[in-house]
Amino acid sequence: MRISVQGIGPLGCFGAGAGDLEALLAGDRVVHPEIARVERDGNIHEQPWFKATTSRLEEFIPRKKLRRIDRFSTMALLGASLAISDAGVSPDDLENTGIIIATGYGASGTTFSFLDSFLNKGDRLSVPTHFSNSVHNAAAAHISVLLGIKGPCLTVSQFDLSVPSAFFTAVNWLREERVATVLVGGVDEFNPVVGYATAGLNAGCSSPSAIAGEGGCFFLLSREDAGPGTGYASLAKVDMVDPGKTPVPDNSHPVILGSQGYGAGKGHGFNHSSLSYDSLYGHFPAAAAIDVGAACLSIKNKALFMPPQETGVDSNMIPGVPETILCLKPGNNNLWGAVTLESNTPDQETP
Amino acid sequence: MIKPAKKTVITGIGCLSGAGATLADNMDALFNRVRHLGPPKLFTTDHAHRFPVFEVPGEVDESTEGTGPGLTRTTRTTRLALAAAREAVARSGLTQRDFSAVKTGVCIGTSTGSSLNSIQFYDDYRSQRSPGLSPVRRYLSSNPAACIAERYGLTGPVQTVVNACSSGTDALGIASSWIEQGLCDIVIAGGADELTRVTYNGFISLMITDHEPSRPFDATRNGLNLGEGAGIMVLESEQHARTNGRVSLGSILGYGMACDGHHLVAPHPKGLGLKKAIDHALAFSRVPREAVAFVNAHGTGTRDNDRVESMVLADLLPGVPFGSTKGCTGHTLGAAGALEAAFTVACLNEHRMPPSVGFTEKAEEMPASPVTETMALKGNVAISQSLAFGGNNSVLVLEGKGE
Repeated sequence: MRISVQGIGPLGCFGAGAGDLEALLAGDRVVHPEIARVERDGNIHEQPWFKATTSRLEEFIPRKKLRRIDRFSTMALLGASLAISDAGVSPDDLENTGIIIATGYGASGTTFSFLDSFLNKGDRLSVPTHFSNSVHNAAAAHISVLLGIKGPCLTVSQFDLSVPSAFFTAVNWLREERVATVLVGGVDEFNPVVGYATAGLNAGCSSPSAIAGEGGCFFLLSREDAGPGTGYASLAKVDMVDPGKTPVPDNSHPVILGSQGYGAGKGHGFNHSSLSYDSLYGHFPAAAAIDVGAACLSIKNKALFMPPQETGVDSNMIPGVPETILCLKPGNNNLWGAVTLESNTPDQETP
Repeated sequence: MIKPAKKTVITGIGCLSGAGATLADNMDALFNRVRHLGPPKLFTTDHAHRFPVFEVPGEVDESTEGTGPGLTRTTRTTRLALAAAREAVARSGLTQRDFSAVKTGVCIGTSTGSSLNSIQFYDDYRSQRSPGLSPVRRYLSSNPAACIAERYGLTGPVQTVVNACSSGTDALGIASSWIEQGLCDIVIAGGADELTRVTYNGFISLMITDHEPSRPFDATRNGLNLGEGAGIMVLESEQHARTNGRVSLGSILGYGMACDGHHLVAPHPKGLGLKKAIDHALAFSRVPREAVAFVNAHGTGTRDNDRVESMVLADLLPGVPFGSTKGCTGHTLGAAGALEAAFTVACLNEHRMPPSVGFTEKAEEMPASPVTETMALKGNVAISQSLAFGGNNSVLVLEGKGE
């Protein structure tokens, strides 16, 4: 069974939607990071980060319905709405649809707001709406409620492997015919606490391009019952592998590597040529979803996007028209996530 | 839906909760109506009422042979998961070599186990005290599924489900589908959650916590008691287990899941999502409704949850006995569904179900009431169901080992 990416909904510092991501990748759009001031050991450090823009959400959902929606869920709603719109369908047509969201840190800003509520005023004055919105699956719930999607609804969270993990189950839901379509995506938000933590953890690493960020990308997946040639690409394979024990999936194809900006995977035991776009939209767990979105655009456009030279990656490789692209994401515990996309145009369909 | 290529059997079960340190201890507590609840000892609060909880007593010992790097400083949630996994793996008779020989995955549900919510770290941060990063490193090295994979050297898929209170049910359902679809030969799956001041304050702030022992489905019910624990199962394809001479303790026949799309924290008033999830689970299982011997309900003791569950069960499964085990364990959040699935299988294998502790008085608004005494079971198939924040409804159809 082949699975088709019918629509994509990227959002981040570059804007919102496939066109905005493509403009960024093509070099037609330049984005400068915000600067967060992080106090550490009595000194103020300036930490650059890429801030997502979310203003387009009101194109899809009336503002009055968004009053109690936090930033994390706002981004998820926007990504989901964009993917549905990009696929050319209406939410009303998604009766037999599942929702899967991947997030590394969840609604961290709201989580800290909840802690503020009882640290400031005592346990008895904890704010319930902060608590209910801090739960990791709140974003999926808001998508279900506001877009009227009432199929299975799942949220997964395992840091950098969250996105491959979500795709893994999305593919399985389609294969077992649990649903006809899956709205799957990754989303993460930046906040100063996460910034403080990541800056501290990265201190001492030679990672000039490892700028923090936020945003994500959603996808509307379906079985290719509609016939080949629809949508962006086929989702050929999703796997999680330990490269120390299992060969990394066929990497004879172009590779997009979510690598924290650390020399595009060097140091992770990965020595093949690769592309990395971290320096364009930032590094965060759900950026792996934007990597997959970039791969979809490459396959659809039959052209690879070369990353800026300053990322330090080997960019003098990968000639030809990409028919297959492998998105790799190194994770904790020596596991890698691997999402393989391939062209689904009729003349390239394999028997 | 397509017919599964393989059947999922259960070859190991491990449980840890306020009711006991093993599955056997938990079952004893359920059938003997034992309730070990009291004010929280794991943390301090300034609530006027010390809302009672079901804590796992003392430090959780997860030490065992084969401890992997990075596991010495894990969160309590992960230690709970590892302790239950140890019991489940021991019961299965599987060794690390067995796991390595085939594709073995891990799928664990949790709620607090994936939240960066260290109160001390955050308080120091906001007070500009430049906190050290040990809590962050512990958080990053404590993903429950990843830690189990590391402990047992697993090379298959790894997934941590964060679907609030249905996480444990969902993890088992997803793991079962991995086996049915041939993606794994073995999966270690279940749920785990620790009790923290964050969830304690959160549920109290929502005004759904009882300051007395909870009374699921009772007319006087006034909320839930929180708990903590872990329930872990070793799942295998029937063929793999049989080929290797392992004893099946039961099976996961099917899994259904549907979202209400109604409200963030309240179930749909007519239980539409729950009905859909039950129907889907039975359809995936190819089990008729009349074959269901009993239902392990979510049964939290909150006004809305119990009313909706009672209504749905009376409508879809009239006359089928049901009960809640949360009167003995408390609501263990991400662990609840896995613990209760384990209890359900154990009940099928004992051919009896326990009384629904806390229930004494029928509620007028509820068309069906839980069992009040230990009841002999007729049949070898049961349902375990979970309702969650976000409107999630998740249902497992489980089978006992049979005669």
